[in-house]
Amino acid sequence: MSAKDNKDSPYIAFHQSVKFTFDGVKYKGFKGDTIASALIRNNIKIIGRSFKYHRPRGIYTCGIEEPNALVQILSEYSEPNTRATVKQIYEGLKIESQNRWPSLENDLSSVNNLLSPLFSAGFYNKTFMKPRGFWKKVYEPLIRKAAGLGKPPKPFKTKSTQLHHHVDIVIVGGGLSGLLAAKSLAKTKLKVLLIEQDSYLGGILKNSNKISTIESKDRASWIKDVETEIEYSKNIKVLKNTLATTYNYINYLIAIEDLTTGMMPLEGHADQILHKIRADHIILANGHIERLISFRNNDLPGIMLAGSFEKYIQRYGVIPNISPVIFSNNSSSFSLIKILIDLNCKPQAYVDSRSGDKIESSLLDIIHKENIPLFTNAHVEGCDGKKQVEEISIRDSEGIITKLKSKMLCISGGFNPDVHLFTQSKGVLTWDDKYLTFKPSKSFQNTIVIGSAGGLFQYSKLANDIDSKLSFLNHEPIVNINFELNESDNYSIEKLWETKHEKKSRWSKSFIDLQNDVTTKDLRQGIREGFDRIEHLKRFTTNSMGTDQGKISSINALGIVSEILNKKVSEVGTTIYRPPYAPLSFASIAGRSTYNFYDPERKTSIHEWHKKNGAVFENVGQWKRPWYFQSYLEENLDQAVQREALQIRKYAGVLDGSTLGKIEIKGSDALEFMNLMYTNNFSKMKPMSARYALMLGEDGMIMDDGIISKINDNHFIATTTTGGAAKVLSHMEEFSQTEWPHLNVFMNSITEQFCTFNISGPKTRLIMEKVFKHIKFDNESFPFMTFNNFTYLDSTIRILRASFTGELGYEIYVRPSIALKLWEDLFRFGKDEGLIAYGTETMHLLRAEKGYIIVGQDTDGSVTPQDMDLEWMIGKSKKDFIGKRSLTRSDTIRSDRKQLVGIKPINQKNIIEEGQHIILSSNVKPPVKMLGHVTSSYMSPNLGHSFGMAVIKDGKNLIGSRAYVSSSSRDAYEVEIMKSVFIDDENKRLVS
Amino acid sequence: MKNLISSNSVDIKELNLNQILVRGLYTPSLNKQIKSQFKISLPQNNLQINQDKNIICSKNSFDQWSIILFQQLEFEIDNAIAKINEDEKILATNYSEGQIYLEISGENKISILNKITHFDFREKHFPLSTSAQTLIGRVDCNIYNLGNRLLVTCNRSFGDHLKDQLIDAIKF
Amino acid sequence: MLIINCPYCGPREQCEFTNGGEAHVARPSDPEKVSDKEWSEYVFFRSNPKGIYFERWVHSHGCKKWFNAVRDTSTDKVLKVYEIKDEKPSLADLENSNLTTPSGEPEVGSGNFTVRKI
Repeated sequence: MSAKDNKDSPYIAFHQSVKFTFDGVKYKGFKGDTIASALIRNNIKIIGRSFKYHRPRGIYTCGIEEPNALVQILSEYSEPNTRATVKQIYEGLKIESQNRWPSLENDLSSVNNLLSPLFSAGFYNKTFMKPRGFWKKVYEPLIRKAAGLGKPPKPFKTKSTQLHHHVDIVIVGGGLSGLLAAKSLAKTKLKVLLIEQDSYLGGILKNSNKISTIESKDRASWIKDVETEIEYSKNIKVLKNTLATTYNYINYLIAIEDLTTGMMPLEGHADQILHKIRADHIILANGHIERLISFRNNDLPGIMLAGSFEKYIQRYGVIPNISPVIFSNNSSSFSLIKILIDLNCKPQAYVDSRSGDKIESSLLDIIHKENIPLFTNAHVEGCDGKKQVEEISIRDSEGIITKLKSKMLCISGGFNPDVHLFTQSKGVLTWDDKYLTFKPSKSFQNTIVIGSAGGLFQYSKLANDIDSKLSFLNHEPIVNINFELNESDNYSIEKLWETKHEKKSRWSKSFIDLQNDVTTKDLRQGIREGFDRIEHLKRFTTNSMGTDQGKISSINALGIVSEILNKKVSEVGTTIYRPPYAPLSFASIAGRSTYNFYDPERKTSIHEWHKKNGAVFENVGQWKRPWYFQSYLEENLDQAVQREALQIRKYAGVLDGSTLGKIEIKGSDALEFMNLMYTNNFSKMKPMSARYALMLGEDGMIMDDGIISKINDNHFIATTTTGGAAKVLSHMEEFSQTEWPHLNVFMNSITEQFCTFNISGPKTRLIMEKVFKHIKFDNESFPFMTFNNFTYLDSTIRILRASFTGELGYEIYVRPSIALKLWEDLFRFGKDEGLIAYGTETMHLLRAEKGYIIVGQDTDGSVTPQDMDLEWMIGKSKKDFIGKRSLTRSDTIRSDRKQLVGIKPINQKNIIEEGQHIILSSNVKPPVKMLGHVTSSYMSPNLGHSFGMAVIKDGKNLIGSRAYVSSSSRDAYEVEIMKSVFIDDENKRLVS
Repeated sequence: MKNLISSNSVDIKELNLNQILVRGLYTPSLNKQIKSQFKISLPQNNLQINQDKNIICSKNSFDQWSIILFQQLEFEIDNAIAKINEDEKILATNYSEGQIYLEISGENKISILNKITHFDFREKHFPLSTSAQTLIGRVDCNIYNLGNRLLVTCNRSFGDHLKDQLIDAIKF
Repeated sequence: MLIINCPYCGPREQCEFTNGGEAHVARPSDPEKVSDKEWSEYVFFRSNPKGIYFERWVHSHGCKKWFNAVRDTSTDKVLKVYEIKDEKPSLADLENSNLTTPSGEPEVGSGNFTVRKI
């Protein structure tokens, strides 16, 4: 009883053989074969082992709804859980079956099948809890090994790309209904996109024998003619090998296109396109899916859905078995029987659960004519066999069992309109009592459902269905199509979800969800244990939770549950269908935003100079900033920072501060606005002077800080931290637009319009005088915290006298086009004075020695200005500013708030670590009261010892006393709490 | 002006342009000031572009205009900006050096851009002589529809990333 | 991903916008005169209804302007978009949102229709 080729199928290139390997054995198929059809051709029955019980499994269907035939593709990046029924073979393809060891034939884990009475529903929720220590050491490692179906994939760099579409109409499905809809839209002005998951258009026309002729043409010719018509129309685009996976809001369709169908994907080349489609209207013509019937051992290899069996014959040119037994509860088998007869095969028997008077005469006729054994009002009770179907037990209406020796059983439990996308679109379903399935009823979005996807199973009504639903689009009406059918136009079905078992043994299994090994017994047990809501029952049993989402069985489960609960199926409801419709790789979702395109790398205009001069970079947000400069190749961070810090306090150093935000604020109400945005009072500031300012949130916490330069009452320039630049600008815009729109004030970001150089150190003045010969830098002409505009190389630059290091210093703002020239000039004149470039780490160290806070380092969104000893920055006479009121909340006036202090280790050899807790005593017996933590910590070459900044409860009152810094790796060590300024606390250097 | 790439029916050139960002509410006196400095009037409709020989002026939103000059020297711009800023209710900022300017032309330009942006380029959403602010390749950009070519600008520090993505989109 | 109609730029994808929380939450005109409780409610408390919700959006990757919107939080349908300076629209002004039950569960669109009481 082996498989036989059907050379009539035009979709298989029988002259082109393709060699591939399955579980190490070489096989031959044809171009156009899927792995499944090629294996069927080679009479391979077992394709994998099931998830829990490791039962042998075979190919069950012929499409994306496949629950069993999941394989690992070794020749690419070892992708697991690939559907053998969809993946086309190519020369050299290497495939491995899953979930078995050591081999498919002999899987040791099939002992799970013997132990199966223990693995009932809710198994995952009830086991592996005790003894407690066992989880980490025993259970988890074991479960990790046993979990999943395949093995994790390997890295393989193909290019996944994405494409955005904006169209008027999308038609999902290039089958009979989809093609008719497209044809009718061909001459309109609407932009249409037709998506088809297979490599060929046609759907039921090419996948089955149900339609003999259409519009008096044979199927293949009709499809070809429509395809040509679509090609010539200017407005319709067709995407093949493209599967719509997600229907989002608003009319947003995600579809995945496979560019390497039947080919080996190549590294560095595009293999997938993720299509992101916005459409005014989406027409769902995605057809229907056949469902199974539950009976004893309905998972044995050799059992296949009847429609899939027919699809293998028509679409893939292979008859899996020349004399199958067919078992159905509906009228759809005629076309299968007919094609078998036409190909000189003959079904071994036909079993119909309906009584003889309910069966179509055409079906009875062909059965009698061909002398096919007929069983009506009968069920398949079960199947038996060692690793595959060998015997089928049929029970008639009187209970008499007939056993047939057979290796193939085709089953059909009815059809479900494929409602996944429709329900993803948040449309409502309704139960159809005639067809015993759910079908779309009310749409939520602009969704139109046509054909069988909408629950229409009568060909004679199709033209009217499409015409009535598309008329508002001014399409070309179809009016009428003449079909010659190989089946009844009156699809009829009788309810049958499960047949009764004859034997009642602990090991007799009637499956509902094949992929997750869920049996009908599990459903009953779940309901007995109280999980009678369908969403709960699903999670408890894991029914329909596999990668196939229970496509061929989930409605059956609802049917069974409704019978147990004695409720209508519509009352039981369905679980929520979640995207994606079929597994989607993360690579396709990431698209191009991987590797070097993961995040933009922002660089300043001086970046190349930094690179050439030994900079080691760190990421500050998206920016690359010099972290430190290596004066020789092996110099590490600590060595460089010690060197840089000494050099700057002795001579001079320059930091590229271009990444810090700069905002220009202007308007007739600019002063009032700035007073509201910051804590400081800018009213009395002289023009051309600058001030360090704090910005709070409405909760009173420090949000950002910067230097505000006042040009005049109507014109300010504010700086921000690097990370806060965008946030501060948005914050200003928010309050200006939503809270105080009556204030005339505007803000422009000028972060990118200027480069900023921070030069400081005792030799700075000397260097500046050499570079800018015409500018006076003495204290009288250029006081501390003042600024002015000057000309340099025919460009306007601004120089502000300010410094973050506590040394005499200046900030130079210069246009990018001449920035590098100026930087190089600084070094040309400054090198002999000892000028060096320094990075962010040294900057952190130097400012800490002065007790200057860094927002985001010493603050974390939960500290007020008072906490940071910056109360002096609050403009006392200001009536209101953002955050002011919050500073007098009961929480913010607490005396035991954490306050900023400095700490110094008693033993100078100790190095304090950032993040360490401050505790009262060195006796570290839990519970230990935490007084605070270390926010910044450095080894200072200028002080000769390490020091830190910390926030400690009631810190101001603890200055002078001792505390301990705890550490997980060693004993706590003693520190002295002091003021946070360690160097030049009278600021003599700044104003020198 | 630099030819970045010319392939697959798309041409991308990088230009060196000057730009002034003007913030303020429309008044006839502001319009007069702009006209006297740049010989172009401010469009009054949102997103509209007024175009002249070497200059375009686009209204980005109800209180913002971009003036882009295809040639002018820096000092003249600074003077023009200073003059406009004399009005305390107006903010004019020199945006010339902080941006990069890309001119994208060719038959395939929209299908290439569709690979890296969700923006709807159809005529009904992005008509001729209008501008838009959106994301291209996850970078904030201004785009100007000048008919057979698109002008795309973004902040200088994102420029390399945007250019690389455009070239990558053309190649794959 | 929603499509939001920016009053200045037209309909754009949601990824260009940032949600700004509840709308029409007035900042006390004289913060010094309000109690700790009233002030804290302004700073920290926002309502979270199921159903009609008045909220703010900012077109952060576009024109950077703030505006208001009315959204049905059970279906995500944006019923109206209006400028920051406009008055809060009355419920009568809004498009027919399909709120039907006391808990605000619309028949279509919330996605939870499948959960039935047995």
